[in-house]
Amino acid sequence: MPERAKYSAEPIDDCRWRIAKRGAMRTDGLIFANAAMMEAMRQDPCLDQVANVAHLPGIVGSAMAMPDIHWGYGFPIGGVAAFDADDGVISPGGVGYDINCGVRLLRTSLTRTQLNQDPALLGALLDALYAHVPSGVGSARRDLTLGPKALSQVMVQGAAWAVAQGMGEAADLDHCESRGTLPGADPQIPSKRAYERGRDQLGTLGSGNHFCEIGWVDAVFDAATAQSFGLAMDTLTIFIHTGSRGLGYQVCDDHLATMIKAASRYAITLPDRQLCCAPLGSPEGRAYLATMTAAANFAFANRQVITHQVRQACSDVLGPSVKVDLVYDVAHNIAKMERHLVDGASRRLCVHRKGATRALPPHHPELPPGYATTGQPVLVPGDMGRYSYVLAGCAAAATETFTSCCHGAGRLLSRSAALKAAKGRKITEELSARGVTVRAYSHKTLAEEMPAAYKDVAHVVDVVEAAGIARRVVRLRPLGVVKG
Amino acid sequence: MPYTVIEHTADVGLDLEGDSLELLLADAIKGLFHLIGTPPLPPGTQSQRWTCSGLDLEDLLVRLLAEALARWCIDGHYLAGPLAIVVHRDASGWQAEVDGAAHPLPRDLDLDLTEVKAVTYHRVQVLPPEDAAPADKWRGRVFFDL
Repeated sequence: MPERAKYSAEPIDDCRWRIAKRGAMRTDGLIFANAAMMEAMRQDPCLDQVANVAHLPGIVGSAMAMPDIHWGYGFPIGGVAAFDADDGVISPGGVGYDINCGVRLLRTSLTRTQLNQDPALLGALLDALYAHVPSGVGSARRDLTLGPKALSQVMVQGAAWAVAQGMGEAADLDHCESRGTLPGADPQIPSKRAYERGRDQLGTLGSGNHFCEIGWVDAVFDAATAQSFGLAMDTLTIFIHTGSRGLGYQVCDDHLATMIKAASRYAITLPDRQLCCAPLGSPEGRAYLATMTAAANFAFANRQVITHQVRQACSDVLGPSVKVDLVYDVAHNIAKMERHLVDGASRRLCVHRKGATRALPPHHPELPPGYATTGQPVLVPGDMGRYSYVLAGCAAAATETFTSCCHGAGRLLSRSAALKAAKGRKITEELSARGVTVRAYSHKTLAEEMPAAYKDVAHVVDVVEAAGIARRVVRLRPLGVVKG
Repeated sequence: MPYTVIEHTADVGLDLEGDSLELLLADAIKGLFHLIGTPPLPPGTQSQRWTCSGLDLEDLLVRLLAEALARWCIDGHYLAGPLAIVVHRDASGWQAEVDGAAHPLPRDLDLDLTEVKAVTYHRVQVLPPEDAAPADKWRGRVFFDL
C-alpha cells in the first residue's frame, strides 16, 4: 500500500541522491538512482528505510541503496551499510531471512544455435532440470537427507563440502565469492528447528522468485572481459538463483527474537523493530554472525549441489562431451567482515548487503587469477521474459559502496497486483510467444513472477554503470526457465 | 471478517481484528493458513498444544505465528478448526497457551501452496480497543516474508 516517504532526497548528480542527516540519523543516506526511479520512490517508504538504517550505531560512511531498491523488512531491498568492527552493530534485518540468497552463472560449451539444431533439445533439457532439481514449496530431497553431523559439516565447509562429496570440481571453488566458504561458522548454535528445516533441503531451489534459467549471450559489450569470463556471442548459459532455504529462514527468525531483547539491553534506539541489532562484540552479535555464516555456507553448498545436478541433466540430454563450467557465484543477502579503505586508513568493517551484490574492482586480492585484470563478475538477473546482465566490478565500487552493486531488477508490482494483472491470461503461452519455455511447479507463483511484475533491469544497470560501480560485459536472454 | 489480506511490494500482510485479544491471535493463525493455501485435508487431526511468550503483544503475535509456521514447515501440521488461546501477563512479558488441532499433511504431497518463509516484525501492531480505530475491537497487523 503506497505511502508517502517521510524523508526526501536531493540530487547530487544524475545517478546519486542524498538524504541529508537529520534528527537521530548518524550519517547521510545515499541512493543510486536516476530521476525517474526517485519519482517512483516518493510513493514508497523505502527512502525512510534508508534513513532508518542511518540511525544504527557504528555506521561507517552513508546508509546506501542500489537502484533496484524497494521496500523490505528493516533494511530496504538493495540496501548496503557497513559498521565498524569495534563499535558497530550487526543486524539480521540487514541480511534478510534468506541468508545468502544468491546467484550462480554457469556457461556451457554449446551455443544456442547448436541447441536449436534439434528443436526437442530445449524441452528435454528443461524436463531433465525439472526432474533433477527439486523446486516448489517445501521442496525436499529424499536422496540427500543429512543427519546433524553431516549438516554441521556443510555449515562449516560450504561449497567445499559438496566438492569433497564428488559434487563439483576444485575449479568451482575458485569462481565462488569467498571460495564458497565463509570462516567463523559455528554449527553448534543453530537451533534444532534450523537443523530440522535444513536436513532434506540441500540441493533444492525452493519457490517464489527462485529459478534455474537456461539462456544465451545475445550482446557483448566488452569482448576482452567476456573472453576472460568464458562468454561469447551465443554461448548457452544457465543461471541458478536460490539461497539457504528453511535453515536460513529459521536462523534469522531465531536471532530476531534474541536481537530485539539485545537492542533494549544495549540501549540501542530502533526506529524500526525489524532493524534490531546488537554490538558486533557482544555475545548476541557474535552468535548471530557465527550462525549467519553457517547458514551462508549452507547456501553456497546448496548452489554447488544444484550445479552438480545441472551438470548431470546436461550430460543426460546434451551428451557427456558438453562442458558446464562455473563463471561465478555471488551472495546478495549477507553480512561479511571485510577490510576497506576509509579516509585513507584500512578498517575492519561488517558490510551488510541485503539485495545487493559484492563487486570487486580489478586487481583486488580476492579475485581468482583469471579475473584479476577484469574485476569480479557481477551477476544481475532480470525477469524471465526480458534479459539479465553480467557486469564487472569497477573502481568506484571500492571508493563509494564498500565494493557493492545491485542484484537484480527489483519488484514493480506486489504479488497480489501481479495476480490481478495475470487474471485471464496464459502466462506460459505469453512467454512461449517471446521464445521462453517454462516449467513451473506453481502457476500462481508463475503469475506472481511474470515479467511485468519487475522493473526493467536495463535501467538498474544504466545507473550502476553511470556511477562507475560496475560496467556491462554481456547481456543474456532467457530460453527456458524452471520455477518453483 | 477477522482478517484482511494487505499488499506489500514483495510479500503479504494481514490486518486483524477480534472481540478479544485471544480471538485476534486465533484469527491471525487462521489468516496465516489462509495465505499458505487450502489443500484437501485428510481425516483425523492431531492435538496441538504449545506455549509461547513475548516481550510485548507485538512480539507475542510474531512468536505465536512463527511457532505455527515452524510446525507446518517441519511436521506438516496444518492448523484448522477451533483454536483456544489463553493469554496472561507476568513480570517477564506475555504468555500464550494454544490448544488446537492440526491435520498432518505428508510433506511430499504435490500441492500448489504458497511458501511463507517467515513472520516479520515489520510494522507489526496489536492495539486494544481503546487505542484502535475504530475503537470497537482489538486490531492488529502483521507481515510475512514469502
